[in-house]
Amino acid sequence: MRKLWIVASLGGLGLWAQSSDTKAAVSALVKAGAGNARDEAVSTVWNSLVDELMSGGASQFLARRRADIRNGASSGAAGSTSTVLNPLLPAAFGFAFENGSAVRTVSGNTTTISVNPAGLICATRVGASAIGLREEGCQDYLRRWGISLTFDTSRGKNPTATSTLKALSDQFAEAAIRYEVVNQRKPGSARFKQALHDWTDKAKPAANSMNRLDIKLRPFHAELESKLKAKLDSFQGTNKSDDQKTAELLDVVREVKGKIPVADPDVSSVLTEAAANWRDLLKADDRAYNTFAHGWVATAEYSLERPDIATDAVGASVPQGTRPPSLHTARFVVSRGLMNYNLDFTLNFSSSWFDQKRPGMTSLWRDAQVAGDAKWRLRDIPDFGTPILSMAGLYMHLNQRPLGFAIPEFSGTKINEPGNIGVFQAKLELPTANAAVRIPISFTYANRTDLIKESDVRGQIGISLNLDSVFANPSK
Amino acid sequence: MTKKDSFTYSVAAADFPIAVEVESFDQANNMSVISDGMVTRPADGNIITTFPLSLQPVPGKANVQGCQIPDPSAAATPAAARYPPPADLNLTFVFSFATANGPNPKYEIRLIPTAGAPQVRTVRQPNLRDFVVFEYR
Repeated sequence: MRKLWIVASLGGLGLWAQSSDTKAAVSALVKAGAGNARDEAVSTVWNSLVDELMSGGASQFLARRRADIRNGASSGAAGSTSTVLNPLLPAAFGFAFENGSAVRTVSGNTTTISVNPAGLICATRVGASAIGLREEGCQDYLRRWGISLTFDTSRGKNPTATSTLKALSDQFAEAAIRYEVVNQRKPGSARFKQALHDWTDKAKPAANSMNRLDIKLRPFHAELESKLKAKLDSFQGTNKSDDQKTAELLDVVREVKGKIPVADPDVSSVLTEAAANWRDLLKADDRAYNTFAHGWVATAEYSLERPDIATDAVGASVPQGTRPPSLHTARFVVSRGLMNYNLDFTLNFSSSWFDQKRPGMTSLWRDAQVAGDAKWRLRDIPDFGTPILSMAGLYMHLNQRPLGFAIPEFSGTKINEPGNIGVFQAKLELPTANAAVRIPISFTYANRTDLIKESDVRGQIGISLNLDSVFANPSK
Repeated sequence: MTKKDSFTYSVAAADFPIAVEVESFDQANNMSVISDGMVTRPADGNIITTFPLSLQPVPGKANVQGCQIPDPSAAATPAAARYPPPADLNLTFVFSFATANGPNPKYEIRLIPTAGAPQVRTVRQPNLRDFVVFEYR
């Protein structure tokens, strides 16, 4: 956020405090190479200076990275960092590696591959780029379908302390297919088109008034550039640190800014008009962004989950090597953000059924779940991106034994009872320099896990890759 | 067309008409707007004429919007866009990154003279605008 330059009078001396954005812009100029990169950095410094003249009316940047893409496994998987699933799959292709379970007793390490088959086909179009993957005009209906496959790479190793369970070597854990019922978070939505229209209405007057302001201030723009470049040239052959260079360049900015006659009626009238139009534009810009990022999304999903453990013989009812029945899960995911806040909400509703009714089971129905989270996109970390903080809660009603049949004990604890599970999760998703890679870290408290009726606190960590960007045209 | 500094280009009569293209990268939507063309007198910087410009989608080029700056000396050019040298044509581009959808959202402005090589400018966040001057001599 750009702040005002603060002029403080102290003992008759004017002390300038510069905005962090100007310092960042000058610091980037120090590091910029010659040629166009340097010109671009000079333009950033100039724009930052003008923003400050307009009383900080400029870039109130919201953190603008998507926080609604599902890459990892569901909360029921042995390796998952998520209590709540995000509504959208990657537009083409994504990977996630996760460790630590949310509601399972046995933690695992999972690899999840998410694919949008039609999106992949569209990505092969000549000239297609990552930006085009969520646009309309290529297999629009089919691109609403996505699939994900989860493999538990720790299978064959867990559990370790049991006499009646043994881990299966088959690493396939879960397959899911999902369909976007509603998605307002794409440029084709009527809501976004209206926001775009509003933005365009504000952009033209803003461009015209900024043009008049830049014309008025052109001599100072030219002077700033000339002096900054001369100062940069003077650094050659010296061993000044980047901090020293930044400080000297900031002195240049301060000197030129001090010459601009902001009190001159000719300048102040243009400046006032430009500032007003620019603020209107930024508000329209934020509305467009919020419409794009915070509209309704509703997704329906079906998943098939394979259990990760088999049993040794349990009396006469469970033969040796019996695998618990697979689970079918129907899930509905809905998201909506607050238009005027950097906050997005997601709700998951799901229910699971066993695919076989074994002796002792009351029915096929296993559980019902409701989960919700609130996600805050935090302030951008320069050169990295936007961390996302989320708080989530999950309630699961286990209608019957979690594995479908009785198992006498697990790790010396009575297990395998129906009941209710409550989970609270705090999660931080850290960005990396390449926005395609994110690192989720979460801490989860559960009043019990599926097999053991004891409270549990765990940490989970993962890495997710949204590989849509690899389809971008290399020339871009 | 010759680049003089970060925002100024020297142009001659042979460079007109000048095509302008703005392409968006890693964004779902190209949200760019160009100001009206404002022509100033070099001696005092006063505006002597203003003429409308508008970026429109370019057929066959996804994510590209463009317009053409008319020849200020051509008889067919509207009166408001006709001016003799020396004159400076001032333009401001405004951008939005509201639909950033990839790792490196940016805009590329291509200034394409009738004769000679195009000039390319790049705009990335935090910049939301770009100022360009054509010095017509």
